[in-house]
Amino acid sequence: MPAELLQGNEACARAALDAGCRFYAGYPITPSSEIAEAMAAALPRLGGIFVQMEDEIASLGAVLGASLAGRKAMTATSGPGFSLMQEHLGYAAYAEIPCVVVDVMRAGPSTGLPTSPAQGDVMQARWGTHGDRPAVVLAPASVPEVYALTVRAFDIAERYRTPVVLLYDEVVGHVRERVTLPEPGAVPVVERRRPTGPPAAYRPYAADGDGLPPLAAFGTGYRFHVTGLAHDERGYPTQDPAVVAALQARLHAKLERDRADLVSWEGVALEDAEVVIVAVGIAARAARRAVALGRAQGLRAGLFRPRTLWPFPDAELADVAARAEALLVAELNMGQMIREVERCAGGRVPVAGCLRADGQAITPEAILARAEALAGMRTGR
Amino acid sequence: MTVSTAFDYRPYLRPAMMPHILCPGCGHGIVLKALLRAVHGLGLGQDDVVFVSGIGCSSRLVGYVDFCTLHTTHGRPLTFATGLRLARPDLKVVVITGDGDGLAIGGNHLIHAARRNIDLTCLLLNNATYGMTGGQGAPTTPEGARSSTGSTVEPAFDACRLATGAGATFVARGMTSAPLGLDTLIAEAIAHPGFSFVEILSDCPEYFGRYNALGRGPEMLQAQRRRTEHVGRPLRAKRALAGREPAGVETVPGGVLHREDRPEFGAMLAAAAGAAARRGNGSRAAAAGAPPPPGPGVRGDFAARLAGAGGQGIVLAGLILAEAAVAAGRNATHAQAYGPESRGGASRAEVLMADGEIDYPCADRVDALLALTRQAADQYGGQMAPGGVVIVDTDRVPSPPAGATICALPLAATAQRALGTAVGTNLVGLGALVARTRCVPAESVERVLATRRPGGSADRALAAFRAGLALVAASSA
Repeated sequence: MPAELLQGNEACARAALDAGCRFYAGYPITPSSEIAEAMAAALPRLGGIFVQMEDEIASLGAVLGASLAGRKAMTATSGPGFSLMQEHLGYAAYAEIPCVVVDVMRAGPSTGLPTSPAQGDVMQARWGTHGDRPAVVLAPASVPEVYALTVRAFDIAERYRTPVVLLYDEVVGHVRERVTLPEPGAVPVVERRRPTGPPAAYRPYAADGDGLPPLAAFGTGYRFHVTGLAHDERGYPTQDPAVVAALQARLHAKLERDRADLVSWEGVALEDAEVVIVAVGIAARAARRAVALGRAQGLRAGLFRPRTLWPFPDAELADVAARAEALLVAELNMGQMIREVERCAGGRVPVAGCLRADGQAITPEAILARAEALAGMRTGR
Repeated sequence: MTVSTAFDYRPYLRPAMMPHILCPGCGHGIVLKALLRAVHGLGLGQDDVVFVSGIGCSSRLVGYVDFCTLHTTHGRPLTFATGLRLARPDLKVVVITGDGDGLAIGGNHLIHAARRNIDLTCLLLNNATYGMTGGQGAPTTPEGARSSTGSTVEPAFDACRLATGAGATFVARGMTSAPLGLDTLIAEAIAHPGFSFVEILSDCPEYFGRYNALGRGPEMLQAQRRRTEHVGRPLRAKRALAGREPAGVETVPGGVLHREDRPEFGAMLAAAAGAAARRGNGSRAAAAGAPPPPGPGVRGDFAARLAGAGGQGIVLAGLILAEAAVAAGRNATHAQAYGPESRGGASRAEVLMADGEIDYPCADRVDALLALTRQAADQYGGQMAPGGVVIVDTDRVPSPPAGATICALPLAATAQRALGTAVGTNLVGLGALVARTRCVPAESVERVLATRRPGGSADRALAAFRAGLALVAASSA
């Protein structure tokens, strides 16, 4: 494809289509609506379905119904709608129904600043639903990366039978950048595993094998039960503590075992960095500039940028932290990811925050000033 | 439909799910049996039908039958069913919900499913209470009736009138006390092409019956049979059912209450998709052709800010500028900031251009500012890079900010002259900015305008842009 100027939200929709998404259900909300509009324009021509539902609860419900019918399916929203989707996110994780949920973050809480960027849903994406479940949350920082990680989100969802959240801020959603996309058919995509054995022997939640049981589509001869109740290998409700414990163990193990396949991060100038900035999304773009500005002034700054917020690249960050003098977390909230960073630092290296939650993007200058102050404290400059 | 007593339910059941959780005397099992007879009578196979339910006693029914079955979240079965049915229109989808599930927490989904007329069958089992949680009041508990949460003072919903009002194209009321008529009603509902709704009056002797001294299952069934009871009827009706009030209390209608022909939602979507396909691929292709080499004198890294009010086309003008840079083979970013208003309020776009990577897509100090309001000029006029230029409208910004290089031009007046309207001032300003800064070749902008046709006319857009170019040429001549 020729180079083109593409918006983050448009890139998300293009990637979803290229990944084989053929069902979209959603509810309008700023700053995510461009995704819905692009899907509404494209899906009918591709034999797909676009439906605008009555709210975000219904949107994710419809997505899960379509996924059980065998379609790759997604929805997109922003903070208030993401809050409404939390119960169904838990359902998708427990019933192991593949789906992709995009949250284009705006400033909250509540209605907040609907058109302004924030990164306040970091912890909601991990812990928003009740109960224990593993989470996969991807955090792109540029338009090309929105495309790549949207495709990746579908691959992970289908391979691991799990909901995947694509989480980015309003700036990444609305910024336009030059991208050169692959030809639509040239994108390698993952299809979910289907059962091949006799229907009578099909166990949709089988614990043996690799812990990733295949998922039959409804109406294909495999008759099975799906429930949000604790369930056994057949999907039948159970209160047997041993069965429930085994289910929880498998749900966590299926993602933890392949952690190396899932975790993704980028390092910039980390080799000799005394101050390592940790940031995602637009804050990471500002941090990258701050690293360049700092290096030009003799400050040994580096950037650690998680592409997967969950699983968090904790072992990798701990390794980087062991060689740094200080960690600086830049994020558009009152301090969320910083708690993960502190956990990785384990008290061995100081962790400071460069936080902003007023609806404005964080600036390279603000991060640089904070990094310089940290370096000065360490060296007595 | 005639049904012999020899009907064999066993092929339809999941023995491993037994025993079921329903209480003695509960009416819900009667509904399940009627449903299986209806499916059988329609000649539907077990792979042709999917059962979807929510949370509550009635929603547990789906677990006991050997079909594809989906036990969803509280109140939401219609949402899952909508996605399922749209994705697989060849499947029959039957939703089993209760009065709390379908009318309280899920009421919004019920009215929208009915409005869309999506081809689902919704069986709402109404026992006038929350049974699974211990007999609390429901939106169907009759006014004056007792529940675990006290005496009901709210009026109750009439589920059938609600569904009819919302647009359901088949609405019926059945009774567990008339099971043979029930399977006929359910079969008619499943066969109906569109959203079919059947309220089935069931009974909860364990809670509603006990709280209101209505007897056990048999007494409640007999009472229901004497008078088709009515959700929303005052308690005296319930008491009449129990024989403690004189006969002559009004009855409510059963059977098919409403039926109409209206296009089905999935079919409408398919028809619209077919029409879109016949119109051809209308998606805007990326600007074709190899980019021209950058013209002589085109600058290196460059940052522009366009600022004004919502509705002035600020974001669009910035977008055209950035697309022109990409069309010219350069890297570019376009970031926007705006308020919630579609018209009025502040609007801002920042366009960065470079021949390498752009690490941070927002500008601090810029090389050019196009300010279309006085507020924008005041707010951003001080944030200029050395040598930067502020382009303002002579009429709108009569006293431009001090300390910057100002280029004051009659932008709106020029748009008015060129187009007969001030709409287009943004493109005149864009022309002035391009002519003054030479940040992109004017031809690249013109190619984008010809492709994008802002305002619906490439000719008018080009006229506005060229008028802006000419303004600068005239002022520097």
